[in-house]
Amino acid sequence: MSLSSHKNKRLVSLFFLGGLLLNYPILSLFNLKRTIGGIPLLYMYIFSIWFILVFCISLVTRQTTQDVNSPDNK
Amino acid sequence: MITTKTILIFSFGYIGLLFAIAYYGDKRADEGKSIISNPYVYALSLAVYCTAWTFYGSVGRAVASGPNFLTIYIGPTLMFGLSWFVLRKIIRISKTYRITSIADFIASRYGKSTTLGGLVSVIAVIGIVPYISIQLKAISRGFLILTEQNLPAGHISVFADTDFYLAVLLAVFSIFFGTRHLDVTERHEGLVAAIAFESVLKLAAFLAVGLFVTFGLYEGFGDLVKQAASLPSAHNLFNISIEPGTYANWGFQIFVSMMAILFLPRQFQVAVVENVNEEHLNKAMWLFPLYLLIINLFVLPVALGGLLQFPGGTVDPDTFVLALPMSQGQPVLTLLVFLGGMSAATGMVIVETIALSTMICNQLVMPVLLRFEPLKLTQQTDLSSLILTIRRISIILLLLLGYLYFRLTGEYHPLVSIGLQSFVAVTQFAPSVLGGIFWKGATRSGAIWGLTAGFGIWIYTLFLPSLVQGGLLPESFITAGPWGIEWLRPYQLFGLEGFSQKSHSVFWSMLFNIGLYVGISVFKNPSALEHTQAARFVDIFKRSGDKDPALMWRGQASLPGLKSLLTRFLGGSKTNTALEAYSRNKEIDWEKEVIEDAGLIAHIESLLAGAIGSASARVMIATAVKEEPPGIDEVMDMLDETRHAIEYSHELEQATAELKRVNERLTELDKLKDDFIATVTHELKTPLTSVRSLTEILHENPELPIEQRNQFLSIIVKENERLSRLITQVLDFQKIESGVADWQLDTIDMNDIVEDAVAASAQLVQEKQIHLDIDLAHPFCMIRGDRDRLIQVMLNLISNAIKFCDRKNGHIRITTIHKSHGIRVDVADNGIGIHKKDQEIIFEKFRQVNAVTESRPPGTGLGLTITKQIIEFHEGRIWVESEPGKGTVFSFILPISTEKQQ
Repeated sequence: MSLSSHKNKRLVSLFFLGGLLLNYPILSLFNLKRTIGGIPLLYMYIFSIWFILVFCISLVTRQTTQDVNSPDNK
Repeated sequence: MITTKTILIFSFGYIGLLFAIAYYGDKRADEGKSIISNPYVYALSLAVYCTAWTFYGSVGRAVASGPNFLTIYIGPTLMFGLSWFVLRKIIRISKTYRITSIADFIASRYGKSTTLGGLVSVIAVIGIVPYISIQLKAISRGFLILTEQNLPAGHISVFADTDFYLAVLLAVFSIFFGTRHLDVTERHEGLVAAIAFESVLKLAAFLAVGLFVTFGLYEGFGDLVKQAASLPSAHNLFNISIEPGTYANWGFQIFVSMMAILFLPRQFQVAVVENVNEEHLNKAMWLFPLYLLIINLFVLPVALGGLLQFPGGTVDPDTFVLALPMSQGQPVLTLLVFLGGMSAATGMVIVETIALSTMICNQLVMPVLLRFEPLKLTQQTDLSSLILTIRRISIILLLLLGYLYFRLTGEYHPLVSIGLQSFVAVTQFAPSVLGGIFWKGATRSGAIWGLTAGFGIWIYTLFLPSLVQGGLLPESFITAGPWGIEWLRPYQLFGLEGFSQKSHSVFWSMLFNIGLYVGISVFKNPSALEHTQAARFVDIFKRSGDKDPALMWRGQASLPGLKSLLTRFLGGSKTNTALEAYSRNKEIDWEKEVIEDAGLIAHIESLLAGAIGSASARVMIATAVKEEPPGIDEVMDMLDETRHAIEYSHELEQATAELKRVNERLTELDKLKDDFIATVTHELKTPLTSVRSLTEILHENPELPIEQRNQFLSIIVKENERLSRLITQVLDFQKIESGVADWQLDTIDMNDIVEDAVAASAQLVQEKQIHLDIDLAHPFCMIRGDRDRLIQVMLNLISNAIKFCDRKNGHIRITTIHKSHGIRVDVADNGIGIHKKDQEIIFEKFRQVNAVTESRPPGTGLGLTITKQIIEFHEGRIWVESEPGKGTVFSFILPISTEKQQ
C-alpha cells in the first residue's frame, strides 16, 4: 500500500496546486490585455497550466504503475 | 446545399452505425472477448461528459463571457487528479456490493434506505430532464440550420417535427442496448463501445471545424486574434470580466463541475458501473483530461471566426460551429460537424436515460410494487420481464419528458445555462456520497435532510425561475419575489446579491445541504445496519474481498426458496450460473453440500441487488428469510470497527500503563541495588581501613606501650567481627533469597531463644546504658524452627532497637505472649519511631530509612529483610507498629508446634 499512498499523496498535491493556480487570486495576475505570440495571455496561461497538470498526472501514474510492475521492487 | 433527404439519410445511417457497433460489442462480450476492456475505451467513454453543450454551447459561452466556459473542463481535470483517491473508492465499493446507480449507492450507504434511494432518483430525474431536453434541442437546431428553416422548433407540429422522431429513435436504441436483458452487474459492453465511438467522432468533428476556421479561413491563431481585436464585440472574449463576483463564480463553477463529473447519472454509469477494471483509471486519469483539453483548444478560434464572419449578431453564437463551414460552402465538413454534434447529444441522451431508468425502476417503482400487498408481487414466479418493461417504459417517459420540457421552455435558454442547472442539481449528492465514503459518522437522517434541503433550494432558485421564462409562472416571481416578498426573490434569496444565478444557488443549497447533513449526523446515532454499511463503505480497502456476510442475515431460509427468488428476477440459466460460481468459489459441491448460511443469503442478496437495487433486494430477501432477532454476539459484532478500535486503544492504554509501572519498579530496584552495593562497600571499607591502619601502626612501631597495643588489637578484633558479621549477613541473604539455605528444624522454646539473644547482646545494652526488660509467657512457648536463625532474628531486632533507642533514657522491652494461633514476640523501644510510609518499605531488601537519623544508620539494610525471610520461612508473620517520637514495636508471631506439623 505504500506505493499507492505515495501516489495518493502526489496526486492530492497536484490537485491542490492546480486548484490554486487556476483560481483567484493567482489567476487574476494573468488576467491582462496582452498577447504572447498572438495568443491572449490568459488563455495561454490556463492552457499551459492545464497541460502541465495533465502531464504531471500522467508522470505520477506511469511511475507508480512501473514501480508496482517491476520485479525487483518488493 | 445539403438536402433534407441527405441529412436524414446520414442521420439515420449514423444511428444505424451505432446499432451495429453496439451489437458487435455485445456479441464480443457474450463470447468473452471484450472490446472495451482497455483504458483507452474507458477514457473515451468517460468523454460522454462532453455533450451538445460542449460541442455547440462552449462557443456560445465564450462569446457571452470569455474564458468562463473553461471552468466546466478544469473542474473534471482537477477531480480526475483525485480519482485514484475518490473515484477508485467509489468503484471498489460499487463492485463489491453490486451497486448500479448513484441512487443505489447513497441508499446502500445509509442502511439500504428505500426513502433515500427514492429521493435521490427524484432529484436526478427532475434535475436531468432539462439537460436531456437541451440535447434534443441542439440536434433539432442543427437540423433547422442545415435545412435553412428559420422557424423555432416549437412552432412545428409534433408529428412534423424531426426531433420527435429522433427522440423515438433514441428511445429505441436505449431500450435495445440498455435493457436487452437483466444483468447482475448492469454492464452494457455494446453500449460503451458505441459511446466510445461517438467520443472519437465528436472530437474529430470539432477539431476539423477548428482547424478549418483557424488555418483555412485565417492564418493561424495570431491572425484571428489580431483581426478580432478590432471588433468591439470580441473585447470581452480574452479576459475574465472584472465585475465583482466573477472570480467567485469561476470558483463555484469549477466546484460544481468537479462534482458533476462524479455524480451525473451518466458519468456514474460509465465511470463506475461500466468500469471493467479499476486499473484502467491509471491511464484514464490523464487521458480523459487530455481529451477535455484538446476539445477546448479551438473554442476561442471558432468563436472569433464566427464573430468576424457574422457581424451584427444575426447568427446565434451557439450555432457558430455549424454555421461557419456551411456559410463557406463546405458540405462534407458541415455534415461531419452535424454528425459530431449529433454524436455528442445522442451519447448523453442514451447513457443518461439508461442510468435514470435503472434508478426509476430499482429505487422508485420496484420498492413500491414489492410493498404493495394486493399485487402479491413477492410471490410471482418471473419478475425479470416486469423489471425490463418498467425500465423500457421509463426510458420512453424520460425522452418524452425531455421533449416536452424542450417544447415548453427550451427555446428560451442558452445550452450552457440549462446544463449548469443540472450540474447544480447533482452537486446536491456530493455531501452524502463523499461524506459517506470518508466519514463513518454520517447518518441516514443527515443525508435525507441535507438532500431534501439542498434540492428544495435548487428547485426554488433555479428550476422554478426557468419555468418563468417558459411562461408557466409570472415574471413577478423573479423580479418581486413570491407574493411580493422581496427577500424571497429566487435569484437574490435572503437578499444575497453579487453572485451569478448558479453560484447563488450553489451557495445556499450547499450551505443547507452540508449544514443539515453534518449537523443531524452529529446529533443522531446511526442504526446498527447504517453502522455496518458505514464501516463497509469507509473501510472498503481494508476489507477487500472479505464481505463479512455473517453480519447481515441471521435466520433460516430454505435453499429452494432462495433459488426460486433468484430465478424470478434473473431467469433460470443465469441463476444456475451464478450459484455454480458461488459454490466453485467456496469449493463445495452445489447439489450436496451447500448450506443456507448467512454467507449464502448475503451472496444472493448481492446478486439481487445488482438487478433490482439494494433496498429492494433487502425487502425481497426479508420475505424469503425468517429472520431471527440478532443474538448478543451479532449485536456486539455489528458495533464493529469503532468498538474494536476503542477496545484496542483501551487495551493499549492498559498495557502501556502496566509497562510503565514495571519500568518504574525496575528503575527503582536498579537504584536500590546500586545503593546496596554502595552501602555494603562502604560498610566493608570502614572496618578494613581501620584494621589496616592499626596493623600498620603496630607493624611500624614495635616499641608501642603494651596498653596501647592491647587497645589496638581489641579494636582490630572488633572490626574483624563486624566484617565477618557483614559478610555473613550478605551471604545469608543470598542463601535465603535463592532458596539454598540449610535449615535445621527442631522443637524449641521461644523463651530460651529470647533469653539467649538478650544475653548475647547484654554487652551492647550495657555500653549504651539502656534499660532492657523481659516479660516471658509461661510455662513454655514451644515452636518448631531453626534455633540459630531465630536467635539471629532476635539479635537483629534487639540491635535495631538499641540503634534507634532514646540516647539518654533508652528503654527496651521484650515480651512473649501465647496467642490462640501462635507465639507472639514484641520488641519495643522508646526511640524516634518510624513514619507510616516508611513502615511499609522497611522490610524490603536494600532499604534503609534514611531520613530517620541525620547520618546513614549503620548496617547493610539487609537485617530486617533477612529477619522477615526467616519468619516467613517459619510460616509466621512480622510487622511493625510505630508513631514518630513515641517509639517502635516490632512484633512477629510464629505458629505453635503441634504433632501434625512435625
